[in-house]
Formats: sequence, C-alpha cells, structure tokens
Amino acid sequence: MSARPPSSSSSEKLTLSIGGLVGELALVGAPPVFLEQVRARYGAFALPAVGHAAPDFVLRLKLDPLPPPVGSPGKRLAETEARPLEVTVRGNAVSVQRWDLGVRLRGRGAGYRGEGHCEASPFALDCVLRVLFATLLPRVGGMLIHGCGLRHAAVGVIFPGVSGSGKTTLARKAPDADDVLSDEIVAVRRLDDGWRVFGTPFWGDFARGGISMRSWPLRAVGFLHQAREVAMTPITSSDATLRLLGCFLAFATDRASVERNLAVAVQLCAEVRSVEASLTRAAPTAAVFRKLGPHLGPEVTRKVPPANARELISEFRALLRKQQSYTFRPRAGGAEGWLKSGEALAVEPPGVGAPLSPGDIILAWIPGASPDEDALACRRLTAATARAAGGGELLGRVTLVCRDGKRQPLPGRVGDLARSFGPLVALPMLKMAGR
Amino acid sequence: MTWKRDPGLPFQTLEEETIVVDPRTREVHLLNDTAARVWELLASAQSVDALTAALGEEYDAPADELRAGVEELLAGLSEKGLLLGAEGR
Repeated sequence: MSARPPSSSSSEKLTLSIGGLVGELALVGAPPVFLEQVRARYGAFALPAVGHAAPDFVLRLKLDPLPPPVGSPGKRLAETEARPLEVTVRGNAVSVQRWDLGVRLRGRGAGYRGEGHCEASPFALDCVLRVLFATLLPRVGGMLIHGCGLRHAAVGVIFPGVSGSGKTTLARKAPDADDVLSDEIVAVRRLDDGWRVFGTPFWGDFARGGISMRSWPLRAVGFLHQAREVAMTPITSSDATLRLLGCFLAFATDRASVERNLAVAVQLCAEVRSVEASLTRAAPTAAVFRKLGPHLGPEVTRKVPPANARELISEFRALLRKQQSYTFRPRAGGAEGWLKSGEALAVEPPGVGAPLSPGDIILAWIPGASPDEDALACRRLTAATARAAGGGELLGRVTLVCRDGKRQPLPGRVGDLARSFGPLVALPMLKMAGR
Repeated sequence: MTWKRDPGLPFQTLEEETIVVDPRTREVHLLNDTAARVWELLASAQSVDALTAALGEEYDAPADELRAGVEELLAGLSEKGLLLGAEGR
C-alpha cells in the first residue's frame, strides 16, 4: 500500500498539555516539514493522539502556505509592526488576530471550541499557543510567567524577569539541562496540594524547554536582579504581586480577565515565599541555591510524587527516551500476577534494538478522561494488530525482567498474561529507578 | 469638586495595601495603607473636605496636614487616570 500524499484538507491532531491545561488542535493542511518541526518542539508536551473526554479547548487550525521568501525575519518584523497582535476577550469568547494568524474560540459547556488559520511557520503557531494558554490558564487558577524555571531536588523555583534580566544565563548555568523547565516562560498553577510549576515548550535563547509535563511544588519566587554579589532578600507579598504582574504573560485587557489575573497573582504571592534574587552573571547554580536554601521552606527528604498519572507517564516517556532503557517495578494490582516478588521490568523505546514484531510485549500510554485516569497498558503485539499501541502511544518494548540486579530473558508468564488479560493497567505503576 | 475612583479599574486589597491595575495603560499601582483607605472611600463621590474629615476620625494627624496629603494623593491618582472628577456638589 502506498502512502497518500498530504492534501490541503489533511488534518493532523496535536493534543498538548501545558500547565495541566489540555488543548486539542486539528492542524489542517500542514506541510510534512512543518509537522516535523511541531513534533520536535512540542513533543514532550503532546498526549497520545486518541480522543479525550474533555480537553479544555479544541481548535481547528488551517495552515496557510508560507509566502516567499520563507520566513524572512525583516519582513516578519515589519508586518508585525504594521499589524500587531490583538487579543480580545468578551465573556467566554476569545479572538486572536495578527497579520499571520486569526483564531476565534468560544466557551461551550466544560471547554472552548473554535477555529482559525495561521501561517505554516513555527513563529505563528507558537504565538497562537502562547496566547491561548496564557488566556485560558488563569481561568483554572494558573498562569504563564515570563521567567526561568528550575527544578532543584524535588521542588521548583521560578525566577521571573523581563528581557535581559538573566533568565537564559541562569538556565545555561544549570548543571543538568533537564532541570531547566524553561528559560523564558513557565506555567504555574494551584492544585489541591498547593502551587506547582510546570515546564513549557516556550523557550528563549536556551533553545529548549521542559522535558515533560511533570510539575514540581513551587517553593519560591525569586525576582531577578543583576548585582555584584549573590543575595536573596525577602520581599512583601504586595511587592511580589506588583513585580509578578510585570512578568505575567497576559494579553487580554478586559476587566474580567484583568481581575482574574490579578486575583491569581495575589493568591500566589500570598502563599509562596518571594525574594529579590540578586545574582551575578558568573555565580554558579550551586551558589544561587545555597543562598536560596533558607527561603525554600522545610527540606524535602521524601521523593515528591508527580501530581497525577499523566505527569508520571509523561516523565517516564522522557526518561525512557533519554536513557534509551528504563527499569521499573509496576505497583498496581494487575501487575502482581505476572511479576514475582523482587522482579522489575526493563523497557527500551522504539528505535532501539530490533524492529517490533509479532509476539513482542509492548507498553502503551492510554490517556483517560482526566489526568488521574491515564494508564500504562501492557500488550502482546500480534500480526493482526493494526496499531501497535492499541489506541494509545507506543512507549516501548518490554525486553527483560530484572531480579536482584540481574537482567534475565523475558519469562513466558509475562507475555502469556499480557495475551490472556489484554491491557494490564498499572496505576500508579512506577517505582522510579534511575532518575 | 468631587472625586470618585474609576469603577472600571480592577483592584485587589491586600492586608493593608491595595493594588490597582489599569488595563488601558498596562500600569499597576500599589497604594499604601492611607492611600488604600482613601481609595476605599472613593467608591462614592467625595470632596476634599469630606475625605479630610473622614481621615481625621481615623488618623492622629493635624487637619491641615491631612488635607495636604489628600490633595496630593488625589492629584497623583487623577494624573494617572484612576479617578473620575465632577464639578459641583
């Protein structure tokens, strides 16, 4: 069977979770090269392309062909100055217009639906996504902030700052780039257990964003200030609110939106410690956190679990791709029958080892209606299986069982049970090993 | 002359201070405790005399000092476009 060439009406579904807010995009008429760029940039925040019960917004976006010369920066700048971004919010209606894009969303029931168009350029799509997530996140108690976000041990810290304040410098100094949640825009949101900070795919000069949907407890907000020596000076919540509003990524200027944004900022600054983070360009990350330590609250001695199953599986996917193999112990009831005490599974991602073939045992990410209902399923691949992941996203192939630190061939009982019982949902299923 | 705060401006009162946002100019204003009290009183139209009298009952300060402070504050708020003014009354 030959592959069909993409037509102008072909649609590619892209479901993103940023700050826990889920947006489902149908990209219509997107050129293959553009889709590759999109997958590379937003892949860490993409959910498996199967139906969700209730995404927060659904957008059908028609991609306009790029006029020659393709993406000339000078031309784009001139066009943007002539016809700048306009965001209008009236009640539950959101309109986003710029010379290279136009989107309208309307709130219906539990979510927003709409359609629009944008130039098939990464700049235009990124603008649409930034505006929509920035506009809708405050409606669920979150926000996007101009700032550098860093994971430190099991907690997160954000360093808001305007352009030139040192966000990218701070990100570049992080010993592990995977600890950088973003050097430009981070998402924060209040969940049941308090404020959390999320990575985003919206990056600056650091040229990479967060590696997964995983969030971390937000322990401190450090407003960047270039100085001659490193110091952390506590500031009042009202001062923090004032500074935070200057870094709040907000486009709508209607009263309801501004009131909502203000309320979110006030609550965050009342509940999270804020300091003025005086930094030098040369100060190593360790020195920054040594000074910041007393402001981070009680030391976290236990591993902080992900906020929900979706975050957990997303982080598993990121680590599996990074390490090219992963060993874990399923902990759900369904797993107990096919693993003996002390045994763990070894998994390798697609593309590693031999091509998948019938008989292989695979792990797939099956998204649920809510983040807590996402599941990891174990299946035996058959010749008749049209889609290897059975409606979810193929994460990897189970290759070995580990016992007492030794790797052993995959015993038949694992495969037999995967065949007999179908999906063995394991939630929460990972005892993280290797992070 | 009476003054009233612009009812279209979102604001949040914290413990003692008040933050006022002006979406038109994208400016954010932080009012200290005394200014926050005046902002609260400006929910309805107020003259300088009325504001001075109201503050006189709450703050231990000479009337002329309070009046000068009120006038300076109203001028500042007005200059920033946060107030609606009306002649008469």
